[in-house]
Amino acid sequence: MKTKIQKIIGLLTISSLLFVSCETVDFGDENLNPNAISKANTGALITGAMRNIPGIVSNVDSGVLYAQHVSEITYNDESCYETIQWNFDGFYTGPLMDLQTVINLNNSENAAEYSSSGSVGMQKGVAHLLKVYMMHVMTDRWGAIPYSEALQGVDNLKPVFDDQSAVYAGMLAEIDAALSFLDGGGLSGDFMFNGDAAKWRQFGNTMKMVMALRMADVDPGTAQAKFKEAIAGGVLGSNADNIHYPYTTADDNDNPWQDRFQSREDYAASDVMVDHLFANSDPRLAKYAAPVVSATGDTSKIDYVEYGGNTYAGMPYGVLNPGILQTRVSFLPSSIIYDGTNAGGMLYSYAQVCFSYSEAHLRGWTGLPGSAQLWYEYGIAASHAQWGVSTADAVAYLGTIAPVSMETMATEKWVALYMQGWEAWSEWRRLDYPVLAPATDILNGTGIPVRNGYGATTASANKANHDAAVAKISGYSQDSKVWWDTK
Amino acid sequence: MKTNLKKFLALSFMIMFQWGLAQTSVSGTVSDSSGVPLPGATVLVAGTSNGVTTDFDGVYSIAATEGDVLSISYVGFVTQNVTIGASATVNVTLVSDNALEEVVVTALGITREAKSLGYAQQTVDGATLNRTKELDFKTALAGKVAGVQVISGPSSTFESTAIRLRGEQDVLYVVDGIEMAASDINTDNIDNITILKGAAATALYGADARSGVIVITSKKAKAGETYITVDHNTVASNISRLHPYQNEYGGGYGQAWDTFAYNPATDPSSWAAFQGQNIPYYAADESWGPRLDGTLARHWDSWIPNHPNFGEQRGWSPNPNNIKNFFDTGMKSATSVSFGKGGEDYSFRATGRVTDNKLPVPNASRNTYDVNINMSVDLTDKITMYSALNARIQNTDNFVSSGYGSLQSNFSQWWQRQLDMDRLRDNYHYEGAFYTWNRRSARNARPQYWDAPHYEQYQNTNNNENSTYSGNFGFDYKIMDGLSANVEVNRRAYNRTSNSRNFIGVNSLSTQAAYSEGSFVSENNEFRARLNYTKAITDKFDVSALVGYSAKQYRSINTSAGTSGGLAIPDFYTIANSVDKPSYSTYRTNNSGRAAYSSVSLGYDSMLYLDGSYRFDWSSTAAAEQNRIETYSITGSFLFDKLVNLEGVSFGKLRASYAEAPIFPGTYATSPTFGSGTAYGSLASLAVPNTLANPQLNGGIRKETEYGIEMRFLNNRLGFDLTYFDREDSGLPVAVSAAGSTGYTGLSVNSKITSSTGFEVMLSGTPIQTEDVRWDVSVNFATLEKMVDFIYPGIERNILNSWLSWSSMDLQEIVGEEWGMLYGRKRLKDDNGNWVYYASGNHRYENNQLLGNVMPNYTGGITSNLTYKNWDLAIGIDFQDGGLYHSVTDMFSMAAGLHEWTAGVNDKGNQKRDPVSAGGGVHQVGVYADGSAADFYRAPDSWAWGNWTRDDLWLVDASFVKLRQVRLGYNFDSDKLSNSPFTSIDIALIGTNLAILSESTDWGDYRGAKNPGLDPSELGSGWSGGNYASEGGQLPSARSFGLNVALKF
Repeated sequence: MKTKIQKIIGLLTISSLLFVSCETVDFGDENLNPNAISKANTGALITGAMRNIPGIVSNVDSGVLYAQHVSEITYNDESCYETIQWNFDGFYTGPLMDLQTVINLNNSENAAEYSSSGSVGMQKGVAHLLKVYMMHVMTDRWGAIPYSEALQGVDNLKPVFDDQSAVYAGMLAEIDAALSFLDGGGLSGDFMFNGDAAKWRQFGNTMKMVMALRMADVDPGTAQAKFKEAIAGGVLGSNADNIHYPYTTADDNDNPWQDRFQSREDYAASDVMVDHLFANSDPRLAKYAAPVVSATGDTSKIDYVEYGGNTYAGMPYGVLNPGILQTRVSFLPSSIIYDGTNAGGMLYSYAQVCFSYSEAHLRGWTGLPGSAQLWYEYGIAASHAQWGVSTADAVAYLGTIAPVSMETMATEKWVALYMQGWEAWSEWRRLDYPVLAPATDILNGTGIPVRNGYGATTASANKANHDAAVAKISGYSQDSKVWWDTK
Repeated sequence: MKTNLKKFLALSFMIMFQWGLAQTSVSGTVSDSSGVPLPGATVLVAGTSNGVTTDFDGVYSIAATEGDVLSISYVGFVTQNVTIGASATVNVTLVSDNALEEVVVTALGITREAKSLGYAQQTVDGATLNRTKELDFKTALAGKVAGVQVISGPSSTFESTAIRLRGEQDVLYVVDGIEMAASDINTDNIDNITILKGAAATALYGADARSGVIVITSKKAKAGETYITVDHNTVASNISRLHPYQNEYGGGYGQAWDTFAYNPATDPSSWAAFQGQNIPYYAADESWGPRLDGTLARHWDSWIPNHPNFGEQRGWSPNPNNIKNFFDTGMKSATSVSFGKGGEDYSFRATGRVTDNKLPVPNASRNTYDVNINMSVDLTDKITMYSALNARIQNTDNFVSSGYGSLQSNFSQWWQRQLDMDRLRDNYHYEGAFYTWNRRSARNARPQYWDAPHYEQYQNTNNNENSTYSGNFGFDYKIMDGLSANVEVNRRAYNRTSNSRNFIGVNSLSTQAAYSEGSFVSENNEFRARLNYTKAITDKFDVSALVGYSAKQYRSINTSAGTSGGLAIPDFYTIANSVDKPSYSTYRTNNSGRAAYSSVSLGYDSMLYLDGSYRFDWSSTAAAEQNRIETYSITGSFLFDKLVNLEGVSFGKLRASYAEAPIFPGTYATSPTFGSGTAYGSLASLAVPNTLANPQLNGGIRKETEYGIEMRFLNNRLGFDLTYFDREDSGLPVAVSAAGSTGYTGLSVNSKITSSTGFEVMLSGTPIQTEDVRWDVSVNFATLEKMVDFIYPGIERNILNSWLSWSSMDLQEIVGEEWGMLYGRKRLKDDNGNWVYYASGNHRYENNQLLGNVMPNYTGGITSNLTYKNWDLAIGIDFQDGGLYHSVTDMFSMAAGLHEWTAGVNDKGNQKRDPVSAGGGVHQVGVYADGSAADFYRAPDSWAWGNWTRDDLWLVDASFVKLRQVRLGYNFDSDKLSNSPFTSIDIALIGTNLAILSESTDWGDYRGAKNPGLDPSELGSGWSGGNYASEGGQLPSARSFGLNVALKF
């Protein structure tokens, strides 16, 4: 009996020991993820990063509203500055990390493995330029942002927020480096310029020109030098050079404005823009706004104006509970909201370049072609041409304009930047013209926001650095100005 | 049945035969309380060695004389002593011994005496679980298990219920040894369930079972049984609660009327007569419009061309029941047919059930077909083979979901209060075109925001068909006395196909039709083998041990496709009809595991028990060079009533356990990859994932200590069971939030530490027990506190859900705080408790403020069952204290002027909606930022639109006491049925979701008493995923009543 028990216990023990001795089991490659690839295709990463540009150029968040180009119709809380905290994580984890990965892989010893996507120089150059493009939009929105320590994954879990001056200095250097990388050695996945190094140089120099001018009030020396470098490098030279995001007819790559208006009608041209164009008999009125469906009712709230045989009405900007029906106000131009293909989506326009030259002259910067007045008129003409105004109408309008001054130039630039929300808001903050009244019903703060506040997630996930950045701008609000905004 | 008849004849014959003879022997039948004969029961003449066992029909015959005492015993039943009287026939009914000899199913289906267990477990028998015939297994659990929090899906929908066991949701469901999903389970086929709560109880299952296992044992035919049962119920359900709507003002943005302006250039001349008629703001989806005073106006349907209502003016009048009228009476019926037969060496049972469930929501229905078959056969004395097959086939038409843009967000967030639902139903589709209340204008029938509700429900349809097939096949082999082996293979295969359509017609809101479909296929396969050994080494000392091996495999493929850019041919719903390149994605998951385990149990004198188990698991999901983890447990119990004789104490046990259970990382979590994004034309796009994979990811470990005391008093009439557990999870492989500027929102690391503690109490008693009346009550109660101790060096907060509302409200876990904190905007108060206002009149607020915790303070339930003769009355109550969630429904019902608080009178007795200058408005008292007093009135719409992003205004306290289940039944006496084909007839009225008996009724500030809107016991997963932190557009709760008839042949 006892021996039997011993035998059985022995059997149990032996079989247990068999397993104990087995440290690992070989499951082969079962844990290799079949749904995603482990080796990057750098061209596809650039495609993926570029697909985020519509989120900037056809955005409806705050820029296009704060610049008072566009007005919400029913739910006007953003026009009234409801959201003051904006999360920038999506930029970093989305396109910026994709671009940083392209840069890192091309800087690694395995760079040769990625040569099927183009030359190292083109991959790095374009990735850097796109990265700067996005970070420029970001720093102009938030001010201090993680830049020098950003995008390092676990190597730096708490990136510091660099002061905007440092971000600008870094980005200008990064543009210069990028321009030097562009070797014309081809680039796949580039649906913007199809690997054309000359186009990318024009993009990089135009971006540098815009950035240089932006810092003209705080660091005029660097601004002037960088401005001239950009011109020497070659900026946009005509409307044919305008840089649009190339929307397609396919539903997953078409203009976001078209999707916004597919079933809803939440946005109209603002009364500020419509009234300005009407007061100046600017032919862009018929291009910037659509005639109203029904010019009846709510006359106490709405200014109906007659232009070219049609009735227009800008949506009163910044009224919290306007109670105005969609049929009574002017929508955005139908070329933008109903045609999904290639409308809007402007990154940089020739008109922008012209007004930049004009301003440089007004600032007394020397050694530039033309004059302030000439470039001012070129800018207006370029904008009219860009929006399809006939030459005759454009010429007639040019005959009515006031001579160039910081105010007239800035006002015309504000008009020309229609639907380029971030750029228009930044230039309004910097130049302070035209004089815009804040929203009627302010939900937060005391005036038009001059900065985007950091998102709640940033405040929790990177608290010490966030708090340090907030402390420097003496407060948390959207009312504290960014570095280059001195007035 | 025939055999019963035979038995009856045999018994009668015996009685007749023995009639009048001198009494030399006594005979009879031993059966259980339901009349099933008990073969093999021991019948002993007390004080002698004279004993027999009952035969296959439970019949015994023993030599005895009058005055002898017969002692009848059977495992699992209370031993009964009967003194022999004059009669030679002694039929004995044994009562099952729940208290002392209760045999329960534990891990891996091993049956153990409950008294010997050193850890907390709870057993619920199938009848208790299924008293009110819930179709959803998790809903049926409500209030019955200490430590289980039930979060009911909205009862007017098919949304499933969730449970948290000791705070965790990833509970494993095992039916007859096969891992299943809770949604596979046929509630009619459950014999009993055992809930294994802690790591010690589940240690033998290894890593997958760390958060508890619900072990379900199906009904099986017992030896000697032959039956057919038919069970049918029909249950009607009606909407029982709706949001508190105002009925004083109709749709619009202001109280003034627009009037029709005839335009001779474009309007038909006949419309000249309409000049000056009152025109509502059709395009508004809010109810700040004109007072519902009966003024004549042109309602939406008066513009439908050729319609009899065209041109009609009707009174602008309240329609308080319009939302209620949308819903029908839901009808649910379920019919089960089962047959079973058990012999000396076999058992067979088959059940089929057909369920038809029509929701109160129109055009939403679900059919379910279940087949469950199990059998076992003793091939020889030593070998028993068994097999089970289960099939569930389910077809759902038009699953109605919660969320923004859903039906109920239309009704409770964006609506015009005056609308007549019957007119909407009858007129939304007329002469081939579609019409909605929310037309853009008198002249434009296209919707501004909303198609008509019936359009949504009848035109934009969806369908989901799924099937689950599962089964096992195995044998038990008795190698020698005390040593047996078990080998089994089992499999579960799941298949779902679903599709949904977005229709467009004349005057549809959408201009693009769409069609999408998806399929999901998965399979779990397992092979396992086990050796069991039990031996009584001495009279008092016994030992049992087992070793086992298991190999598992999981495969799944999830495929989805959708049209893009519309449908090329209208009304042709197939992917190939897509205008642009359709979207298509597929995701495969493969993983495998191996396990080896052993356990040893020692028992001494039925008083001391010591158990230990050790298990190795290997998983393909772990890093290849270190893919083994080790789980172990040690438990002990001490039945102190055996040692100390305490007055009135019939049972007493102390128990303690400790277990360590490591955890594997998720599939593919260790390999860094690039995800595929939307292509640009023919250019593919890739993206770096937002969560950084970590090739070193592994392990993580749970350590859990548990103590318990269990006592019963007064012959087991009263008892309690108290458990305390203390659990620490450390090194958890989790994606922790990272600063987005690192390039990642999350990092997969082994670092998080959480700890949970809680008490679980069960009280059970039989306050009344007489010949006719028996009243059993059980009460359970549980607390839980889950703390976040550590996340990652330098990371103090983890975002669990971001953007739960429009203002960056997050669900967070924070080091040093309880898990599940809601952070968001909170209205500011000064040091003296005054509200602080902006000059605009809006509440000042602060961001990222603690709003509360989503986890309840305690949960529990009461189950009562009263029987009086043939009647029985069963009641199920469950309760929860605490647990907050945010309500988007409440927020927008206020902003859109639908909520009753936006109308009525203010503290001056004036209409709130009258102009503030005329004495209207909502009274606001507090201070401004500079400290000066604020005391003003605010128009309700300005109040609502100015303050809607203050998250603290819209928090709902999920505390409740709910009368969930009632059954009133009558069971016909079996002797009255002797002339019928039935052996049992049971008829019952059943009701579920009957009433919320208690709930939080105060908003805690000037909003005053809270009019109950949302049912606090119900919360869907639509808004915050599995975290149950927020609600939006949730469908209402429904109350159900029905009749159940169970016939047994």
